[in-house]
Amino acid sequence: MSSRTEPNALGRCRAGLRRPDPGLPMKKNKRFVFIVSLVGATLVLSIWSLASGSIDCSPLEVIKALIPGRPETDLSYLIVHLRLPRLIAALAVGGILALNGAVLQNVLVNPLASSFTLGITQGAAFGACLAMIVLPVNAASHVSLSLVTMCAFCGSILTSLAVMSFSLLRGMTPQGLILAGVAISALLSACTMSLQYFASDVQVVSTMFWTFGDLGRGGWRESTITMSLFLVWLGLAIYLAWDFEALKWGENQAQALGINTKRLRFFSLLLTALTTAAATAFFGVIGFVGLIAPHMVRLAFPRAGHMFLLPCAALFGGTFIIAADLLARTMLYPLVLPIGIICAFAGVPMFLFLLIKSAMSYA
Amino acid sequence: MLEIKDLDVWLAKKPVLESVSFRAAPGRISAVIGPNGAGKSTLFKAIMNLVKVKHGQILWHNSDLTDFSRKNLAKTVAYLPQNSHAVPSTVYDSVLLGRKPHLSFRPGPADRQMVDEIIVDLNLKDLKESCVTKISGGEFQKSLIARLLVQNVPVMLLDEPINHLDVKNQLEIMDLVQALTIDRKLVSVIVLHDLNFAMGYADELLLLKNGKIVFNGPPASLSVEKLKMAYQVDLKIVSIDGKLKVIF
Repeated sequence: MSSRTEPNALGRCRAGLRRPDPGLPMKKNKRFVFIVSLVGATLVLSIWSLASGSIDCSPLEVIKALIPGRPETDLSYLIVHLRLPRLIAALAVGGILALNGAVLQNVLVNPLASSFTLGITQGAAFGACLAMIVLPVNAASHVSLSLVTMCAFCGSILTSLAVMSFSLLRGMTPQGLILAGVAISALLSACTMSLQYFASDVQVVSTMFWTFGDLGRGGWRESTITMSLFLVWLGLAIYLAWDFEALKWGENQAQALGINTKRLRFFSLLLTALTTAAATAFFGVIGFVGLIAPHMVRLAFPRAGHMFLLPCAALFGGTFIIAADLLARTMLYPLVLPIGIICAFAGVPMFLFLLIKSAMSYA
Repeated sequence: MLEIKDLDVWLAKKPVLESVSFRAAPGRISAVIGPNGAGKSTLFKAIMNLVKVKHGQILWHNSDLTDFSRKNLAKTVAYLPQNSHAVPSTVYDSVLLGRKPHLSFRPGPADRQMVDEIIVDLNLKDLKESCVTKISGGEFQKSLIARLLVQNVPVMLLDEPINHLDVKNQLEIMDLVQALTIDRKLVSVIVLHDLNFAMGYADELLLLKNGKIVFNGPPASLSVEKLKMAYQVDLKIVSIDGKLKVIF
C-alpha cells in the first residue's frame, strides 16, 4: 500500500510505462492524403462518368458542356440533362447510404447495422409492389411512376416509424431495436411475396425490376431533392459527430458526458429513415454500400473519430456508387446492368481484402 | 459539499437503495464498500440521474442534482462507469472527449490546451497517439481519469477504477486519485472491492449492505463486527506499522 504521507504532488505519482512516440505528423498526413485522393477520385470518376455512354466524348467536351451560358448542342444537352442528374443521384444516394450506415452502426451498437436494418428496403419494396399490383398503375405512365415512388416512400417511412416506435419503449436496447427491424422486415417480405403470388407475370417482373435499383429512374427533380436531403443530413451529422463519438464508448459513458442518448438515437433513426426512404423510393434498392463504406474507412483508419469518419464514409459511398454506375453502364454496353449487382461484385472482394489485410497486420 | 439525503431507489419494483444519507467533502476521498448487490453502482447511477430516484435528495451546494439537465450535470459531476471498455480511438481523442459537456460544436484551442496539460501531468504524453485498445490496463485507466479531469468538474465518481489491474497499477491509480483529490480539492467518491485499498486511501467509508448503510465514518472507526455482518465472512482488522489492514 502506498504511503499516505506523500499524496500531494502529481509529479510524485508512479509514472506509467513509456512508449516511443508513434509519429503524429505522418498519421495526420495519411488522413490528408486520403481525403485529397478521395476528392480527386470523385472528380476524375465524375468526368469519366459524364463522358461515357451511348455517345463517348472527351473530358474537355464535358467541361465545356458544364460551363453555363454556352450554346446548347446535342452533346451538351445529353450531358447536362441526362448524365449530370444521374451523377448527382449517384453521389447523393451513395453518400446517404454510407452516412446512414456509419450513424446506425454507432447508435445501434452493431457493426452489421445499415439502412436495411430498419426494414426500409422491405417497406419500400412492399409499397412499390402494392402500387404496381393492387393500384391500377401503368408502368409507362409518368403519373403512375410518381404513384409508385410515393407508395414506396410511404412504405419505407411507415416501416421505419414502426421500428422506431420500439425505441421509445422504456428498457428497449439497441439490440432489441435491430431484432424488431428484422422481425418487421420478415413480415413485410412475406406480405410482398403474398402480393406477387397473386399477381400476373408482367406485374411480378415489374416489381422485380423496381427492386434492382436504377439511377436513371429519376430526373433533375429527384436528384436535387436527394442531394439536398443528403447535404442537410451530412451537415447535421457532422454537427453531432462528438455526440456519436461519445456514444461509441457506451450508453452510460455518453450520458455521463451530458448526452441525451435516447433523443440522439431517435433523432438519428428518424433522419436515416427519411433520407434512405427518399433515396430508395426514387432510385430503388441499392444495397451493400451502406454496410461496407463506413467499414472501409474504419479499416483504413481504425482510430479515426466520427468527425473524420462521417464525411469520409459519405464521400467514399458516393464515389463508390459513381464507379459502380460507370461500370454498370459501360461493362456490357449497350446492356445496362443493375447497379446493386455491381456494388456487390466490386465491393465484396475489396471489403474482404481490407478485412484480411487488417487481420494480418493485427496478427 | 455533495450531500445525499434519505435516498430511495427502486428497480424492477424492488428497493435497491433505502434511506441512504451521507456527505462527501472537497479534498477528501469517500470509499463506498460492500458485497456484490449492495447497491454501490446504483448509488452512482442515481447521482448521475441514470436511474430514477424514488425518494430523497442529491444536493450539490443546496441544489438538487436530479433537477439538473444532463449537460449541466456533466459540468458538475464526472463519472467513470464500472467495467469501461476500450474502443478504437487515440488516447488524445479519448481524453479530449471529456470536454464534450463544454462544447457547442467542436473542441477549440483552449480545450486542446487543457488536454495537453492533463496529458503531461498524468505522464501520458508518449502515448497520446496510441490506440486505447493497445495500451496496458493501467494506462487505459489513467487515460479515463485524464478524461474526467478535462471535464473540469468538482465531483468525481469512480466505480471500481482498479479492478482487473495488477498491484503496481492499482497503487499507481490510487496514488493518482489521492493526489488529484487533494491538489484540486475534488469531491472523490470511489467504489472499491479491495478492503485494504479502501482502508488505506479513504478519508470516509460508506459500507452498504442490501441497499442500506451499515457504517459511515473514518476507517479507524469501522468495527470488525459490522464488516463481518456485511460480508458474511470471518475477518480481522489489524494495525501493521500504524496502517489498518483487513485480514481474511
